[in-house]
Amino acid sequence: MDKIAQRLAALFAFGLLALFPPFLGAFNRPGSLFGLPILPLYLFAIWGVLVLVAWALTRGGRS
Amino acid sequence: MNVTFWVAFLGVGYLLGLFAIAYATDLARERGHSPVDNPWVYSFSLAVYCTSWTFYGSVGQAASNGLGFLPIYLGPTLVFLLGPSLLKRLVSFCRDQGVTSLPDLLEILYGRGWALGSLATIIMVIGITPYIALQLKAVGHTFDLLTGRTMASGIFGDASFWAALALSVFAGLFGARSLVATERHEGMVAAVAFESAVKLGVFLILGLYITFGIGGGLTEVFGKAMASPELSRLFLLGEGSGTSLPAWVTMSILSASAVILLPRQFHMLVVENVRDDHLRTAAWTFPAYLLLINLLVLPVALVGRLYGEGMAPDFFMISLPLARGHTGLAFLAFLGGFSAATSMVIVASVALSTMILHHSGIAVLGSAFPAFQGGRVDLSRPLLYTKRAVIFGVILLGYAFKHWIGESQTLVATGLLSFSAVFQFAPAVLLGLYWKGGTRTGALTGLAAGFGVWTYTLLLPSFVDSGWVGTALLTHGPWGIELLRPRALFGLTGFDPWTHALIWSLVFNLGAYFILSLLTAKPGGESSRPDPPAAWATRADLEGLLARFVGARAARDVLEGLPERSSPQLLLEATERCLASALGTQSARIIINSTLAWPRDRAVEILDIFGGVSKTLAESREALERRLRELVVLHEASHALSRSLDLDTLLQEVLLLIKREFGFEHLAVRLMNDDGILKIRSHVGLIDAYVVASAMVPSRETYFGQCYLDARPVVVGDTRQIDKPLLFSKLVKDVPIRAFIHAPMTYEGRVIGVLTAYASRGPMHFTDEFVELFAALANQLAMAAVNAQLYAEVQAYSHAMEEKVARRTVELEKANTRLRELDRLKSDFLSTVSHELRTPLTSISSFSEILLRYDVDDVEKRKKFVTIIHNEAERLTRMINDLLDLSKIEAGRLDMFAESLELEPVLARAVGTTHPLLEEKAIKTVKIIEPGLPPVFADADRLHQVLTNLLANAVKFSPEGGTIHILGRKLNGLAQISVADEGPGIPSDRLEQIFERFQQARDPQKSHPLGTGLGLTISREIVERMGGKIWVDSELGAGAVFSFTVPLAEQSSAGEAGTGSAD
Repeated sequence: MDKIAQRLAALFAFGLLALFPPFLGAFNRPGSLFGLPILPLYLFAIWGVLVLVAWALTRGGRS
Repeated sequence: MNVTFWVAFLGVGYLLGLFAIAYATDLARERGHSPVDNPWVYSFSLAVYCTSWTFYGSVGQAASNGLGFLPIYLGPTLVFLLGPSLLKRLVSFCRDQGVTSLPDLLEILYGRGWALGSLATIIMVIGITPYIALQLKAVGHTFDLLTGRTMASGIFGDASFWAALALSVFAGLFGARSLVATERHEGMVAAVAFESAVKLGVFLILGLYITFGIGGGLTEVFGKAMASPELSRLFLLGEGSGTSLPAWVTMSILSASAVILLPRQFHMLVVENVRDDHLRTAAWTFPAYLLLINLLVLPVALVGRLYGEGMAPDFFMISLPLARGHTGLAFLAFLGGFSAATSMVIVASVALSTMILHHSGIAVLGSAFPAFQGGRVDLSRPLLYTKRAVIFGVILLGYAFKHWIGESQTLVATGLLSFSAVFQFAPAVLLGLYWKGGTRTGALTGLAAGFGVWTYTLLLPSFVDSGWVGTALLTHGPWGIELLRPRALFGLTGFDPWTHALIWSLVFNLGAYFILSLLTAKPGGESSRPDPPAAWATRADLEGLLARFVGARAARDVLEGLPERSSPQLLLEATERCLASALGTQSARIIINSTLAWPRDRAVEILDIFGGVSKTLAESREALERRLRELVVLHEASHALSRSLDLDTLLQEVLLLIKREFGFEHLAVRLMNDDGILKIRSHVGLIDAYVVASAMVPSRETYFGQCYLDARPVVVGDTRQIDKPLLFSKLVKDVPIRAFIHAPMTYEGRVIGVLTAYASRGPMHFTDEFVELFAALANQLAMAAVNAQLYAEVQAYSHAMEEKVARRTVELEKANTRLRELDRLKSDFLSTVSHELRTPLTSISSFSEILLRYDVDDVEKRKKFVTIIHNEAERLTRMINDLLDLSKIEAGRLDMFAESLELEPVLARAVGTTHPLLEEKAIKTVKIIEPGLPPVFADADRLHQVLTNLLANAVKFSPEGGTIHILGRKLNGLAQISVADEGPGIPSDRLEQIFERFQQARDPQKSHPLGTGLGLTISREIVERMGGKIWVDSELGAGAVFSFTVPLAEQSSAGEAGTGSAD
């Protein structure tokens, strides 16, 4: 398993932590931010972060 | 009808577009350019994951259950972050093993056998059929929605039926282009990737339109929704929101496994993967795709809830623009949904058909059509058509499910049913990849148990929902046992049906897997797959075999991809892998194994310890082992050769060694003997009659003769093809010879014999290496044979020498003895002679002294004394003459002058000479001469001397007044003269001795003998010199007859003259 694979696996662990209970419970509440409900915003934000970081990691490995 | 036409036109036109893309891709590939070899295309093709469920169902689920749609995409997102680690391992493992489907993988992981693969296939077909049905349902439903028709009026009025038909044609054409499933379906992949792009684009366009065009922007939509208490609960998880936290986790787990294990995903991920690197890009592009396609689901659902009163939530995407009069957008949405559905149906049906064919399908075909088993027909075409028929069947099965069952379910519910079914494979696959302890029984039982729980807790209740089964089952349990209620099994309540099913199926699946794996684990650990015997396999054989199943071109491609000098093992593995991808691992193994047993002529080579190991094996382990073995044989042979110098022992030992090491039953060594005949010197297992018959001068009429004459090995691999029948019939009469090899035994450029091995097992292929080895053995044998022969010769020579020495020694000893005897005789002779000389000398000296000293006056007396002196002097003279004669004879200087003589005068003179002696004893002589006796050839004086001696001798032994008979006659061309006396005779043991010196028969009465005792000796010498013989016949008391012979003059006048004076 090369470096990139390891880093992506770490990212996987982070995603696991962020997207599931109990951590998820912290955002599972009513309220809004920028006019958007908190939980959907949080989930999509994390999702976006995962994609971006993965992109950055694999891109870094290629050069 | 107008709208119907246009919608149908759009659908058909879209499909034709897909055909064009797929066709163009395949064309490009044939020109060597692969548009599919691109990480983006790969990622988009993976998006086949997003089906109608995503396109329509997510919106529907979001509208009713809020965020519950998300885990279906979050699970895959997380799994793809493991792309370069977990997935890469899976993909490369599958590629190495020629795996084309999940059942294949299981069989590889847990060992081969029908049960596991077949069970997996059955589960897959049962599990995926609802999913296909879901797609067809979506197509049909949206078609109806768009055209405003009433729902499904019979099968032929059902749009989804026609869609199913069209899709099966596409899948059959592009998903079954070739039987080799590992050969990628690039046209299909390109079409699917295109469809993914279409559905994403359409979804984004529609999403933006609905959110902003209808809803008035994100903040407005969310603002309105949050204002509504009914809608604001959609933004939360847990009680009241429709999506509980356990359900959140369950969905994530199910989707995470489904994105790998669903047949279409497995196919795209593993089989259509061009290179491992693409997984790295897919690690972020695929999640990004999922993110994008889900970004606007929630707003669209909210808009639908806010503005789309009375619409089916699943189809907001079409009904919302339609309600606003935007028919074009509705068409676009239909197109997006259509592409989502078609891509899934195409890939899933192809994947399932491969699975069905590989597991049980081929076996069923094989038993139905015997041609499949053993014939040589090209099967690639029929097999391809079979595959297409199976694709067609799979899609129709999906339609049937939709038609009779699926209508009552929501899209998501149907989809999750499939997800849960596929999840049952997750433990077996993951544990199989990472844990070595799993066994086949464990995997099989775990899978069966999980699938059973799935059937009971999910499938059965779905039948209840369709009204096929009474609801009592759900509320009261089977036979009223509440503990067994399908949705509250063993009293487990408080969960949604998916979580409930997940928990129980996981418990049973894993439980059964572990328990049975541990129970059935072999002590040896992992069972290694036995390698097929590859010794015989040649490139051409395997290419022929492959061509039967996958076509000539594919077969050539597969084998030409291997290095030039690949070992048969490697070729066989490649063949098996290719067959496995075309027919499934199990069938491939069976075909390979039965192929190894097919060709009878090959089987012989396998038996043949040398043959069949093709030249390409030169460097392989087997070849090295064989080399080593050959060296050991050579070594042992040379050891045996040096151990003994006895030729026969040595030959026998080497023959037995060859028999033992190489398994020849009959062996022979022929050696050339001094007569130019090539003869069997030593043999094993041959009959004596042949050994005798085969001894002959080497000629070209026989194989061994040819071998001898050409000094080159002669090999006959199959005696049915012999062209020199001479002798051979004699040989095979008792020994069933099927093959043989002759090798010349050459020593210093000279052939001294032939070494032969006969095989009776069957025809054999003698490899070059073996012939070489055999020839080397023959040459070694030749050297040893020559050595042994030389040794034998040296031994014989030394024996001869020893004998000669011994003989000489005996001779010398004899000579020595004779010399001693002679020496003794000489001494005796001297003492006798001196004694004999002294007697007369004594008389002479004493009588002369008397005369000198005393005056003997008496004249008479004086005269008497003088007479005595005179006689004694004469005797002395005679004696000395005899001695002189003897010494002359001894020295070989006896002079003889032979001439023709009349016998009568010689006899008369001899009688005259002996007259005084005769008178002294008053003896008469009687002469009897045969009348007409011819003259003899002799020396007169010597003959006279002989006669005188004999007469004197006769007188000496005759009594007073006796008679001496003298006889002369002719006998055998010689004259024989005999002198017979009437004396006392001679004892028979002394008849020879008397001719020796001083060996005269002594008169027992007289103290000293008469005469010198040399007469007979001298006579014998003389007679023998004259060419005659002398002997005596006598009986005691009856006198003695001395006889001698002399040659007659007429015969020997020419030759004897010389003899006389020769010495």
